[in-house]
Amino acid sequence: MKRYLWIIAAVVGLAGVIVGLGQGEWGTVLAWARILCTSCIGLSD
Amino acid sequence: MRPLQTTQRQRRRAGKPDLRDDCLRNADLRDNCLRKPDRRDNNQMAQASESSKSDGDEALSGPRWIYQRNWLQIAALVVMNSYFFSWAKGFCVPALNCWACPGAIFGCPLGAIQNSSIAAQWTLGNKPWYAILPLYVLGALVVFSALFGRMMCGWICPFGWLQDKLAALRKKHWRIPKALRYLRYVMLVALVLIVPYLTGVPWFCKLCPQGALQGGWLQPIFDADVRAAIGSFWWIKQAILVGFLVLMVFVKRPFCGTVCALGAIFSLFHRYSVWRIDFDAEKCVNCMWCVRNCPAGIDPRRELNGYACIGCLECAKCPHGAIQSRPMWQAMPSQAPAEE
Repeated sequence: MKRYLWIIAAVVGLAGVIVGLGQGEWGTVLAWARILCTSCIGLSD
Repeated sequence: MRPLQTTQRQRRRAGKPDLRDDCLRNADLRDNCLRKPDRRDNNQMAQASESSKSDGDEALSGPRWIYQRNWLQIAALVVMNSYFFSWAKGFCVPALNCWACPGAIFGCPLGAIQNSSIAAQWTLGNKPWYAILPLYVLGALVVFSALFGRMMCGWICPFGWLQDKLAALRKKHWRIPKALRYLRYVMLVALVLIVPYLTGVPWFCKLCPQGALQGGWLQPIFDADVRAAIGSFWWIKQAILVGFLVLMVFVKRPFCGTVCALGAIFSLFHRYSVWRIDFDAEKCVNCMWCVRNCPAGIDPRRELNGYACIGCLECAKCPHGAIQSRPMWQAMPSQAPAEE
C-alpha cells in the first residue's frame, strides 16, 4: 500500500491545484507577490 | 526471494561477521573511503558496473546525473532570480527563495500560506472552508512532495546551496540534536499558520534569514525609499542572518534541519515519494564515507528516506555501492534477476 501513497497524494494535490486555480488563487498569490514584503526585508511596520 | 534490505542485525543473525570498522583496518579500503568522489571515480565505477553486469553481478555505482547537483542548484538560483518574467510570481516555487528579492520571478509558498492565514481572519465564517484554504499553493506543494519528497531542498533550494557551500569550509561538523529537528514542525504550525492568523503579521517571514539576505540586502541597494525606511528591526533580522551564517560553517544545514517550515512540509511526504534511496548492509563496510559526506549531517545508513534526509543523493556516490537511488517502480538493483 505504501508503494502507492505517492499516487494518492499526487492526485489529491493536483485536485487542490485545479480547485484553487478555479477559485482564482493564481491572481491572489500574484497580487500578494507584487506587494513589497516589508516583513521579509525587515522593515518596521 | 531476497529481502528488500539486509540490515547489520540480519547479517549477525545469519552468522556473517560484523563488518564494522573493517574499512579503517584495511589500507586499500581506507584510502578509498577517505577520498571524496569525483567524475573519475564515477567513470571507473560505471565501467566496473558495466563489466559486473555482464558477469551477472549487481551494479556498483550511482547514475552520472547525481554528480550535477551543484550545477543544478546554481542554475535554480539564477532562474529563480532572473528578474524578467515577474508575471510568474503567481507560481510558488517549491524552494525557499524570497519574493521580496528584486530579481525574484516566483512566489514564496510560505509567504502565500501566511497571507492566507492572515486573510482567514476576515473570511472565516463568511466563506466555505475550501475557499479559505490556499488549495492551489498547498496542492502544488503536495504534488511536488509526492513526486520528489525533499529532493527540492537538496537539489534546487538556493538557501540550501548556500548552506552546503559554507559547510564545505570545515571538515568536521557538530551534529544537530535529534529533538531540535522537530522544531521545524513547531515553526510550521506556530509561525506559518497560527500566529499570522492571530496577529495579522507573517512572523515566519519576519524572522526568515533568507529574506534578510535576499530582500533585506538587495531591496535597499536598488530602492532609496526602502533604504530610508531601515529601522531597528532590520538590524535584528540581520543579526539572525549572521547567526545562521556562522552556524552554517559549524553545523551542516542548520536552517533546513531545525527551522525550515517548507522542509517540514516536504519531509512529511519524503518517505512515501517516488524517489527511493536504498541501503544494502551486505555491501556496506561501515567506512563512514556516507556519514562524512552527507550534506544534511545525518547517518544515511540509518536515516535514509527519513524526515531529516534531504534527498540530495550524495550518499548514492558510495564507493562500495551500498547506497543506491531508484524510482519507486524500479526494482532494487540487488533484487534484479541476474542476467544469463
